[in-house]
Amino acid sequence: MNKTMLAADFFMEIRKNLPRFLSILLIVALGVAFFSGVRASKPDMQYTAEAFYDEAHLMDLRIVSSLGLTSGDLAAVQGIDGIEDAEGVYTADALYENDGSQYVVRLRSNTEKVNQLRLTEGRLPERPGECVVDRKLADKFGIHNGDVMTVTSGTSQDLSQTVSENRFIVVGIGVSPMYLWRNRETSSIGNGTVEGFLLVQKEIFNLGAYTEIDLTVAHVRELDSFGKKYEKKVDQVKERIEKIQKDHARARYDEISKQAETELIQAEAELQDAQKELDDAKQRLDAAQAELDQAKAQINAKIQEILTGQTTVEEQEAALQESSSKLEAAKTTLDQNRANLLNNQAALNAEGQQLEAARVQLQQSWNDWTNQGNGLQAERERVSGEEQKLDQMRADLENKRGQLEELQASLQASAYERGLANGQSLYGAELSPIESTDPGETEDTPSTENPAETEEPDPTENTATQNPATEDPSQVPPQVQQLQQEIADLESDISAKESEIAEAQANIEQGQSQLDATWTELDGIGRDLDSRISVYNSAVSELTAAMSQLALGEADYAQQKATLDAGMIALQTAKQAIANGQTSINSTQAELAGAESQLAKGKEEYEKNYRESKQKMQDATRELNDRKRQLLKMEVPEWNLLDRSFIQSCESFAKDADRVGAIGNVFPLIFFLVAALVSLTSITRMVEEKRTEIGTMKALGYQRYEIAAKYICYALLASVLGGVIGLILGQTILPRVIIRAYRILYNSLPATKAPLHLWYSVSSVLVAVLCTTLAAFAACYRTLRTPPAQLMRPEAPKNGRRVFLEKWSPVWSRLNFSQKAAVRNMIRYKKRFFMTVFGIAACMALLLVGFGLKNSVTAIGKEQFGNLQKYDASISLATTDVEPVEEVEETLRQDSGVKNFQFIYRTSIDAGNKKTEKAAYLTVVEDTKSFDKYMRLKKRGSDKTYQIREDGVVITEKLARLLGVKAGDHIYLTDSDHYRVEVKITAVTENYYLHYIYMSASQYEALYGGKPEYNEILTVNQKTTEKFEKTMGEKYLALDGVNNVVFNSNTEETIQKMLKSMDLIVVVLIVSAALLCFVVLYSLNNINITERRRELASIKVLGFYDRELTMYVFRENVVLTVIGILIGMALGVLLHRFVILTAELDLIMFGRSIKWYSYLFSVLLTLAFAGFINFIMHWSLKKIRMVESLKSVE
Amino acid sequence: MGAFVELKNVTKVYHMGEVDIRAADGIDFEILKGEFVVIVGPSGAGKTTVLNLMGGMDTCTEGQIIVDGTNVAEFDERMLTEYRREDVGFVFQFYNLIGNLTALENVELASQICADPLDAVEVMKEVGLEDRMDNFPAQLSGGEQQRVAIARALAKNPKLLLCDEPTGALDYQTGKSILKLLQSTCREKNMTVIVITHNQALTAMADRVIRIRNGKVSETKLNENPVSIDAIEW
Repeated sequence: MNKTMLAADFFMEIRKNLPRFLSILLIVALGVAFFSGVRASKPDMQYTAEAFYDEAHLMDLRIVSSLGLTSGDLAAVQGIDGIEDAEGVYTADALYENDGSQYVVRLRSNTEKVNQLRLTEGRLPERPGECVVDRKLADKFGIHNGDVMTVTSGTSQDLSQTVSENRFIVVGIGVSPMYLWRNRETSSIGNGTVEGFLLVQKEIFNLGAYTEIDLTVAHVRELDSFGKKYEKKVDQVKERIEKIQKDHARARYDEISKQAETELIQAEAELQDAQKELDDAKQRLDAAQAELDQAKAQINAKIQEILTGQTTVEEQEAALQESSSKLEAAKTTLDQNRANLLNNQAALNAEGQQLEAARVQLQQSWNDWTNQGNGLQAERERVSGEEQKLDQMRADLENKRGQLEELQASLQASAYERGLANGQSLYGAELSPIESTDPGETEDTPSTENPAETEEPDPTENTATQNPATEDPSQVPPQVQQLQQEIADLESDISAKESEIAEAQANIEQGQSQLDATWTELDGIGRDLDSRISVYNSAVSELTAAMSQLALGEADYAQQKATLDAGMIALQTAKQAIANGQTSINSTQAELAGAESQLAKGKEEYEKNYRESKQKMQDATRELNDRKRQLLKMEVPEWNLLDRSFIQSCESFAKDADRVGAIGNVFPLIFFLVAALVSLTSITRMVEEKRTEIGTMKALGYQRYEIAAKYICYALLASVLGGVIGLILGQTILPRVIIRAYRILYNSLPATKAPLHLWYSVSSVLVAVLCTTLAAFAACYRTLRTPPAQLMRPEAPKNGRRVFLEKWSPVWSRLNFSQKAAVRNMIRYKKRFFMTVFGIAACMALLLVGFGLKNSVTAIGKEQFGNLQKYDASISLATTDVEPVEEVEETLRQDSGVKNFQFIYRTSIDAGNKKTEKAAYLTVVEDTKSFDKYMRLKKRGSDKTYQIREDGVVITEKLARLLGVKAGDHIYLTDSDHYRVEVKITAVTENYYLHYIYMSASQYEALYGGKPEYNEILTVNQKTTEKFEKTMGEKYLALDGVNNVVFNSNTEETIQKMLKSMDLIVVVLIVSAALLCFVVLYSLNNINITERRRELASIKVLGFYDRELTMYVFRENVVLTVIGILIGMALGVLLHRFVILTAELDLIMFGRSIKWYSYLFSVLLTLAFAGFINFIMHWSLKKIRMVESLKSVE
Repeated sequence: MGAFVELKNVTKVYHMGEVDIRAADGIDFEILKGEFVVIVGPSGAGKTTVLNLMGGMDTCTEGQIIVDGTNVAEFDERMLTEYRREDVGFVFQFYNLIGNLTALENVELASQICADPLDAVEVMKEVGLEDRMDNFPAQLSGGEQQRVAIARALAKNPKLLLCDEPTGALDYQTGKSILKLLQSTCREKNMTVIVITHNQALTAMADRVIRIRNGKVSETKLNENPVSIDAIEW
């Protein structure tokens, strides 16, 4: 009976105080939901993945060897104990073109048991030309069943050397457990990233060895593959494989190296042949060129010759012309001379005529004179007659004297005669008429004179006087001396006569003298004439000489003229010859040009061939060198045994699950703590309120446990019910929400498995139940220990106490009573104080974490693409060939839409140190100085920027943190050829998305011994509008050299989409915060009001308005809220940091800072929540009935 | 001189589930200004209900309550609050002091909100607590606490002082001294004091005695010669 009464009382209690019951139930539910739900997320993630792994028989181990694996190896592995299935797999990377860009796809051979695909469409390939395509590819490129995919080789080798097909009909679309997420492996071809796989038939591969052997271990499928047992079992098998690997690896090595050597030799020979062929072609071409050059030289010589000939001819012509004109001038001179001479001759002739006239006149005068002489002669003859006797007497004398005189004169006459004859002969050569007359005249004159002399000889004294006459040629007898004797004898006879005669003589003498004067005069004239004649004669002879000279000149002229004419004719001939030569040269030249163009064509062809074969040969050489190096480097291979942790997505997913686990360890604990505290307070409060009742019951004689049972059951019921609701809701909803968020990354994940977890369920409910029930028990225990009488009386009001603040009177005296009461209240109800502050702080912290997470996530996009990655687009080049790249470069240079651009070399690389290794992008920068236009390298949270130095690399912050390194440390870099270099870190730069290692070109050269082959161009554009980028993308994709154009705006968008899942988490956090805030504040306010019902009623009675009453309580809450917010801020910052560090993915760094507006929002929301609760409180305050509260103390 | 307080046919019905309890069932009486009134009756007779109605802590279902010419029964919530604030002083059986405020602060709490208060310290002196003003209620004896409660009521300088079993929780001597304080207050300040009690002995000290039984006024008696509390024994 008692029991039924107690039960009735119990249920009545619940019914009457349903809000209290519900608040306990809810807070427990909330705490349990969060605690178990978030904690269950980790195993649920693992279950979900594991279910997929098991279903698909995901390999437990993979064997890879650098030299491949043979079927012998496979058979050996299959024979090992503990292996369920082992299958050999061929893989090959190829290029798939879509929309102008090339993507790398990995062809995988189909496996029957291990690593089965989960087909979402279609079936597995059954014929060589069929494939199942990766769902990621199908989604990305819109590939459907029945489509045909064509792949091409990504290396210089033809694809047919690897696989026999290159066109595949898509017969199915599937996902592989090896790729839970979007990322695939890296590749050594194309852009280095495998976009997705194509599952094809094994038969199409022409490879000599398997790429890998995938195997499953027996009896591990039922184990938790994230657990230790699984690991142990797999390790056992691993060890067994290790045992056989050495022999097999060695055998493979021998086989390969032998084969490789043979191949190498062959390849080398081929290369040499090719080189030789090339050289031959070159030689032929060179010979042709030489021939052509020679022909050209000859022609040139000829042309030169002709040119020289032409010059000579021209010179000659000029000379001829000149001599012709000279000759002409000479002729003119000659003609003039002739004219002059003729003139002179005429003048001379006139002179001659004058002279003739003068001579005739002189002849006349002489004739006259002769006549006079004759008259005189006649006189003398008369005298002579008289003198005859005298004469006779004197005859002798005279004779004798005459002879003497004649003798003396003959000398003179002969001389004269000789001179005259001479002149006459000269004169006579030209002027015969003059000649013929003149000498006779002149001869006549003396002869006439002489006879007069002789006829009239002087008697005596005239001997002397007559001497000149004796000199005259006369006919005087020569016996002078005898004569002179006789003369002397006769003289005496004569003298008589002489007187007579002398008179006559005197007359005669007078006549004679007259005659003599005339003679002298005539003689003078004759002499003058003679001189004139001699002048004339000399002029004539001169003229004659000039004439003969002229004739000579004229002859000379004629001769020269003849020479000139001959020269002219020769010139004409030479000219003709030159013209002929020119014609012939022209034709030869034309011929030569033809030959040349032919040669040029040949050359061009050769160049083309040369380039092509050079490229091929370079490739071949490089490959050969690579292979040589590989062969040299090739060590006896070791089988690499890779377990699931080497599958990136598996490992990453496991890590993410761990992260969720880490969060699950901290986050829900807050809820849980708050929930426990709140329910504890509520229960304690309830017990305290019921002290009178307890006292009564006790007084009535009930057992302690019977009394306590009510409260303990109450607590138990509330907490168990709440716990169960919480665990069901929590474990079904929260893991789904969280996994849904991760599904955005791990898009191949199958449906979520979220079972209830016994351990999490039991443990969380147990803790919640224990907390509340123990609280109830403790409260009851304390109360029940008090004697009933004391219990029946109202509990003595708690002592009012002065608080420390009162000692500080300047402040205290300023407070009014409500404020004083508030201060004292807060300090008095310590439990409530801490609970409220804690609740508000938790709410604030959660909000701050929520908004902070959002900030951090947004920072990836905003900071990365707004502040750090300044470039707008990256153009990846399809080739390293010079021409297409130059074309791209030229296009960029002329593109007005592109502000700046720079070449970089970017490749996937593994960066690591002793501890760990991470994949990153190596970026080699052409121009480090201007690189900050494209990518800002800076310290986070400061303006300090970094330069890429020559002596090391700059790495990104997250990478540095993952590797546990800082500036100054060293890391190694391993490229896809497993070539490893060591570098120093010079700086660690702010970065949020992906890992990058920045290196200068010179550092690259120093490390790798060659210039980087730039494969990407970063550009800064004028605009970032969608339209602009579309146009630009199309423009560049059309170029041969461009493989792909990626715009940062696209990347940013993709990332934002990917991180959208964070929004969900933010919403979850905000809702949780709100819930927490409500539950805590509501419970506490409820307690507060109930606890102080009487006090509040009294105040009401005193006439406080409702508002004043609310303020009376509200004031405390405001202060508590403010304190809670401040504490919550600090807590939130810490929690945010923790969540960021544990939750962020490897490839991403979240922003580390919370923005000011997040603080603001959090504060405002917290205030809003608190305000809302206080608003509700206002109504419950209004409902306090003064009458009932005052009646009695219950 | 007209009635200072007049109740006309005041009825109060509480609805307890399906049962109607008529706590006051047509009460009529009047009180003059400055009277010391004792309302007496057995437990559950409805005397506290009447006090609550007069004090504006509750509203009556029917009837008029005229205080100083105003019908309080017609007041709404806010006017009632104002009425309590300005015109009425309460003294409760369990003092109902604010534990967190000192004695003086408790008095000031009341005086601070009304328009024409008395000086708190003065009032404290009047009730004989000048030495205990800075003590918290928990540090005071029951009588002292009740004195603080009276001081709190008086400090508002109310028209009406309502006391609900003011000696109920006190021992005999202390009770007497409290009643004495109330009586002298009434006499000295011409304050209308209404005391509710189940103690028949106290009727002797009242100017007017109103007996209530089963929610009705059974008797109203004017006491020509009220005696001093010292003369009463019970």
